[in-house]
Amino acid sequence: MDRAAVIERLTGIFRKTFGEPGLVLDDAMTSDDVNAWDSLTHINLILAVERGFNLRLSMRESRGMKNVGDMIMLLEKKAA
Amino acid sequence: MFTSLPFYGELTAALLVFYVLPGAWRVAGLVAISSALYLSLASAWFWLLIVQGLIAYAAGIGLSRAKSGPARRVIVTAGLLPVVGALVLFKLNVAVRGVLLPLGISYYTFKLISYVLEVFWDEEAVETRPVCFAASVTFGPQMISGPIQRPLDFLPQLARLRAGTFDRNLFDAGLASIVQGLMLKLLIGDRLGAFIAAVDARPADYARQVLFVLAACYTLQLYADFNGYTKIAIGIGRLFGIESPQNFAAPFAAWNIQEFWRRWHISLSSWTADYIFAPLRMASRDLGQAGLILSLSASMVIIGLWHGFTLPFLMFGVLHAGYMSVSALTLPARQKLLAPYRWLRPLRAIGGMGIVFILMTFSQLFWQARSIGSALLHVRLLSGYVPAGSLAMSDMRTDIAEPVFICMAVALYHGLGAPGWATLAGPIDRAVPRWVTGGVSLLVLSALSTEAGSSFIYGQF
Repeated sequence: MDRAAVIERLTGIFRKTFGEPGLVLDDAMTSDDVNAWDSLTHINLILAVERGFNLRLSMRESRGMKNVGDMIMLLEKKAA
Repeated sequence: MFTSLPFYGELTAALLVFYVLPGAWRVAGLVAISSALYLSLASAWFWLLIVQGLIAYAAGIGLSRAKSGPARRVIVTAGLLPVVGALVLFKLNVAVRGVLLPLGISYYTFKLISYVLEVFWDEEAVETRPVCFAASVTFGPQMISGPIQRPLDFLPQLARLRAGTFDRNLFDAGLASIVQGLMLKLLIGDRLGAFIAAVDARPADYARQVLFVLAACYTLQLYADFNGYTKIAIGIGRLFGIESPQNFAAPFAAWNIQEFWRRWHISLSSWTADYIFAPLRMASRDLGQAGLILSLSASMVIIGLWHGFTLPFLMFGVLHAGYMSVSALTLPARQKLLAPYRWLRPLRAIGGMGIVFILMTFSQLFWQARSIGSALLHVRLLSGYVPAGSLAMSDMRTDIAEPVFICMAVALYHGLGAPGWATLAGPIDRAVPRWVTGGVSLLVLSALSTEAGSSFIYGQF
């Protein structure tokens, strides 16, 4: 899947998961930048990403993403 | 220990030695100071700390070199089994035989588990330098009461020590944290503790109103005692150039129980969120909401049992598992339902905070009890199921009863995040030199401290 398509779909997932309709993603964004993003909601995000992109992420992949840029890159590779 | 005067003499000597050392030797110096502290308090169990540390260190090295998935899984299991197994065995031994737990085992074991899992998930997290790894695991200020600082949060800070500099601001913040912690613990926590001890000695003799005050004191005293002690530990860490994680963030200002657990004993609750809840939730993703409840419940029961393998602690965990499950299942619907009514927000805030306090306090009836029987006696007395006694606050020793309400108010205000305090005290803080505020605080502390020897609730874990 190309980068633009990943970002578009991922933005929708982020907005729904964290309840922020105006959220705009950028590569450097981390959990520090989004109010409701903590350990518990991170799992909700991961599960929502799995559903949204129809794929499975491992614990290692889930923990390995240091920011939104890492997540986009991983999804570019994994999503069909 | 952090509240005794001789300790501060020894701390000063340790700091002098530490800062005389050149940067290259400071990490080793820190290990030596931490080891000396451990040996002076619990020399019989120092070997266990070393062995557990060596196992986790070796597992980390092994994981960073292993190429295949199966090999990594074997190493992570081999690393975690003895570390977790020892904690479980010692907790069982305490529960069955009533002996003391090896000092700090609950805290350092959780640090080690965190490290092994982090390297399992990302081999770049490995720490190959044994002295740095030892500094992280043995770090003295966190040994007695936490906070549980993950090695990955601690290790990068050692660069500051190796640079051989003296961070004046961090040092000053450390002193301020120690003074604040001492005040919270000695002036508030210990006074509430004296009241609790007096009523708990014969609860059935007291009137229901006193027992309601007692129940609220359970929560408020634990907050003042534990947060106070943690602030001292954080402060001492800062004197050595290490920033520890905060353990409390205005827990009584939480609107719901999930938020409460993001603000109460944070180093433990975030640990279980990352290392128990997250893996279980991922593994149970196909079970839908049942998976969520299962993962949440396991995390809360482990938080309860972390304190000890006793029925009251288990009950504490089970209660919070119930609270969290109901909250997680209903919160989105509640928020959606109430969102249009903005004028309800102040009421929701006050109501939410009140409910969270009552839920926590109810669970404290079990947490603080020696047995389920004595916890249930409290519940029966409070509910009026069993007739309560007739003793009132006015029948108690005045030095114990008189300060209770003011101490409760201060603990509650502090636990709400001290709203308005910065506006009130900010100008004074900026105008008055720090040595004056520090001196006045110490004067207040020495004048108002209770004379009784001070113990510490979380020291037993």
